[in-house]
Amino acid sequence: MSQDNALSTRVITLLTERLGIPAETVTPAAHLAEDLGVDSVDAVEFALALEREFSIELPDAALVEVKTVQDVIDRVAEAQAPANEVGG
Amino acid sequence: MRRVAVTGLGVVSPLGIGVPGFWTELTRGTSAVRRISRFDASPFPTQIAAEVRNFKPEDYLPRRDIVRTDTFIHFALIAALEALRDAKLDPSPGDPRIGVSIGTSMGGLPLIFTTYDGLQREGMRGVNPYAMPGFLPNMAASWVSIRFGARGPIASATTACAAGGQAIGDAFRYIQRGDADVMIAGGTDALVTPFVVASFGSLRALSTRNDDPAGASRPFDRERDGFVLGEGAAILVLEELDHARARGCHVHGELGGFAMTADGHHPTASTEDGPARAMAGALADAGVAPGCVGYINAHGTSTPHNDANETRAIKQVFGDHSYRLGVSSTKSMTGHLLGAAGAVEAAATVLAVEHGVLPPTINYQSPDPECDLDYVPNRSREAAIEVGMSNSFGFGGVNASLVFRRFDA
Repeated sequence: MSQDNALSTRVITLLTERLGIPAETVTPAAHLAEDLGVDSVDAVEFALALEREFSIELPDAALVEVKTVQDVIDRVAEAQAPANEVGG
Repeated sequence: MRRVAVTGLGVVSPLGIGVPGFWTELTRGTSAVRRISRFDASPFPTQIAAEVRNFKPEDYLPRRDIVRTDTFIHFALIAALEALRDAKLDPSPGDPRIGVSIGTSMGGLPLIFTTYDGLQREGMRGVNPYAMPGFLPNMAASWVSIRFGARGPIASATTACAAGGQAIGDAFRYIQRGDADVMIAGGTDALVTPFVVASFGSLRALSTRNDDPAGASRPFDRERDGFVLGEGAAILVLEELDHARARGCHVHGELGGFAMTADGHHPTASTEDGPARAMAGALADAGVAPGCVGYINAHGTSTPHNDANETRAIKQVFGDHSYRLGVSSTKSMTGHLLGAAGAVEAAATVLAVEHGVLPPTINYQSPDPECDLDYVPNRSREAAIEVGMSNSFGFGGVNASLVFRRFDA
């Protein structure tokens, strides 16, 4: 549970620091495009930032079908999972 | 002919952000030149500049805009914010009668370098997608149009150190022709970077008076040894006069004339003829006789060539009257803001005419026989003037002159 919290905090920090989205608007349920104004250029920057932050690979399509901040957190957790299994 | 009023002024300068502080320091004769703090300048022959110190864009702009743009756009957005507030103009979103014209010499050159560093280091992963729309030279004008809902004409002069002057002149024409009622016009540059210091240094254009930063920019003085790099932005809100009257807003002055000429001669060495024709053309455009001009805010870079050449050009246009008017270079205090210089100095000229105070040329100590005009040495002075001129010349042989008239409601 605490790991999940740490993960979501890091994802949310990227949204506020790298994309400059006001912190008070970013909640797990927030819709990226509709609530936070994330456009296609932001999505590329966000994906690059996520890849760097979590040392993961996100295909270009990975963030296309995601809708909310929670979706992103889930996608990052998935991308991390195989590496964790290998490591464990 | 439609007349054009100046109804708003906004300045981001090495002497301060906001017009009141800028004007106070300018008339006090304060130098903004210091040792460069932005990067380690010790490998370079020039280690001084006039930086916008303690600049915190987050005090003025949402972080959302800051992360997507380079500093020259931050400067332009803040200057526009100040100017529109001064004009008491809150553009309704999507106004097609409001346009933007903002010049810059090189746009977001620092961001180009950062992006290229990322590419070299990490390949595609190192390339920020915000980079391209963050460094294009026209993006200062575009961001201002986006943020303030200005959907009229849009322009971005890139005529080097004349860009700010030309951008204001272009805006003037859009209003005169009826293409717009209001233009948000000016210039911006943020180029205190190693590459720019090295490139101008290679041309031997910069002062190397590193042991005396405050005394380094000394236009028209015999001991001048080059210009001092500055940075910043200025925006003028230009408005068709009846439009301004209908709003009942304050009018700082009237933009009466503009001319732009080319030397057609040499990449860096200016002629006497090109600047003289720009000045004469702007006077003719304004319908003002040379004898009516009380003040010239000179290009006055503090390079040996420019200041002597500009002095000769002024004498060619103004004849005996050259010795009766005040000619000052505010670059002695602000440094040379490149593509923003013409805009900051246009603002200074408007304020000089409005308040009847001529800002000085500081560091004027040793007269140069080739520069024998009244350069308002070292101290500002009161002078009730009707007309002021602002000159901006640039590499490539480009010359812009603007004529501002006092406005009595």
